[in-house]
Amino acid sequence: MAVTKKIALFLCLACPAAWLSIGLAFPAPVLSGDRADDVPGATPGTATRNELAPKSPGAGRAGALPSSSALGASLRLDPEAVAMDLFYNEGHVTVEGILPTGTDAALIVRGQEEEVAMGMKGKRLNLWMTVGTATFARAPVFYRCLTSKPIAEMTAPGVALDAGLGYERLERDMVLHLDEKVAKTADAERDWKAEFVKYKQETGLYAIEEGALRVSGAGQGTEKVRGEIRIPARAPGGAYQVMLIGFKNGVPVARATRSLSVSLVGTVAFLRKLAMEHGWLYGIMAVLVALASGLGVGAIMPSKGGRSRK
Amino acid sequence: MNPHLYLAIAGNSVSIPLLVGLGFVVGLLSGLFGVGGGFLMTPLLIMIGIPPTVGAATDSNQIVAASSSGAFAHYRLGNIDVKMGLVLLVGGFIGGTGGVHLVKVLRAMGNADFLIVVTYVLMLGGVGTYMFIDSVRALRGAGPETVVTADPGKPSLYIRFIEALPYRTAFPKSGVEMSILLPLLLGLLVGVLAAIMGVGGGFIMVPVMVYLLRMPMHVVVGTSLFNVLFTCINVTCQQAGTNHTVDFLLAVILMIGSVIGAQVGARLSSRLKADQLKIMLAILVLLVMVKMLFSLLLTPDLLLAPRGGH
Repeated sequence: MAVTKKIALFLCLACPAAWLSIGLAFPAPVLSGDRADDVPGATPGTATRNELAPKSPGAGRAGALPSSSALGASLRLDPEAVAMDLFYNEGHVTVEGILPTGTDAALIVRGQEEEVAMGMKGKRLNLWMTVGTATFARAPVFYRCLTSKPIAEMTAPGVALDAGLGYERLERDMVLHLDEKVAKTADAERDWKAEFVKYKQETGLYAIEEGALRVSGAGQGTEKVRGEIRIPARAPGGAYQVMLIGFKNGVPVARATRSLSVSLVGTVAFLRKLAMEHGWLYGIMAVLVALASGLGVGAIMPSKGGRSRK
Repeated sequence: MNPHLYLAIAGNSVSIPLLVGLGFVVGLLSGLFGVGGGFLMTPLLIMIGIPPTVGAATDSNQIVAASSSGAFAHYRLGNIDVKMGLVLLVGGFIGGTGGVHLVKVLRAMGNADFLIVVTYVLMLGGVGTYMFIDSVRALRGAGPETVVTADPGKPSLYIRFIEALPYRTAFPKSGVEMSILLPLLLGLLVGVLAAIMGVGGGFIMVPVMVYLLRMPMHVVVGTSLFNVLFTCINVTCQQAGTNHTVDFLLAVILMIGSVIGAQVGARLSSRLKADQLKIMLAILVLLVMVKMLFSLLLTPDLLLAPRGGH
């Protein structure tokens, strides 16, 4: 067991230390994907083009909102930036907002929009395999909808749709491009969009959490809203838009918006940047460290190579 | 307490104890059975949520450390046929490079992961079944199958084929004489499989050397490790430079577990009967194969899968 300890110690110290020292030798980058000003309409404190603007005939009936400043709603995030480091698993952002008394609260978190190509699985020769490609555009990389009560009890379906509550709005805004090998019926498009949302839910990137916001009286005609946004490890870096909406008698009456930054930092950001931008150098360094580990172990352990093989 | 490590290339966080445990189990099997363990590691990584392309590429990096340690020990024992190893290596380099580009093309078409799973099912099924039959035969008293039997007066088709090949040369360390084209072609085949499956090719190379190249067993293991080492160095660099799919942090954690597991396995192996161990390994290999086969036959939970990068 002494040999085992030596090996474990060597690997624990030599390998990560080598890479961490490399990371320290270079300025630690911060990778946040698209920056706030690259995201359409993602300037902190303002609504993006997708958020509440009416998209369909009649949408303006209930979906259009007055500006946030006119209603005095406010929103605070703690922290305002989520840093994904070496030991990141899940981040938690505390949300605190102020809304007029008697309103129900909804919070929407949207990442920047992406265009993503997905393999579509289908059955060929009785085996499940990739049968085509579906490209989804104008879909946020991350979506969370937190509410103080079930959406159906808070407002009418049309209003919820226009306000961006629920997956229907995402599916409506999404642009789907199917390759020529796949049937392009309206039903097929609807099914594949729903499948995309299901995929995002499975990976933890889309979620609706009804009842996750707590509302309590704050005096002076206002109420306090509290909640927590979970940022899973799979969440891509970028500037996320967080919007608090107050509904009174089923109608949106107040809103406030903030920007949340999600980024890779330190060694993780360094490794990602090195792997993506200098792949060959990264590969050679990975091999050299692995060789050093293997040969180091070979040098400190007794020569038993022939004995242990059958 | 379940510390997680954020994997920059896999884009997800994974429990460190789980990864170390995984490395330990595969290392234990490696120490017990004298196999590299790559053919088990990649499917296990896929099962815990690592993208298949990242799992396969990262496994190659991990094998560099494991095989360099073993090859070094065998080199000190004089168990490496360097001439044969170099010829196999040339074939392996060509095959490995071609295999990496094949994976890249298939990824663009969306079929890379399907190819990896199908290759695994075929290889694990073939090797597992062969080992199982061979072990059962040995336990029944028939003794392990020796070198291909051939009537000296009537050479088999295979013998006639290899004797007809040009450019014959002697390999004194192994005590055989054959066309240089044979190990070159076999090395190429193993190189392609190594790139697709993310394995060093040891579990394919050993039967190839014993049954097709007719090398003595004591030279086979050392030469196989020598070959696996350089094949995996090439595959790691190619995957990092071309597909950006090597996750070094993941490889390091796996290395820690596998080195310790290999030591424990090597000690355990001396207390168990070889044929019982072979049957256990064969069953394990076949179970992994069945699990992967089901993924081709059963309706998947999700009909969309990421294509290309991650």
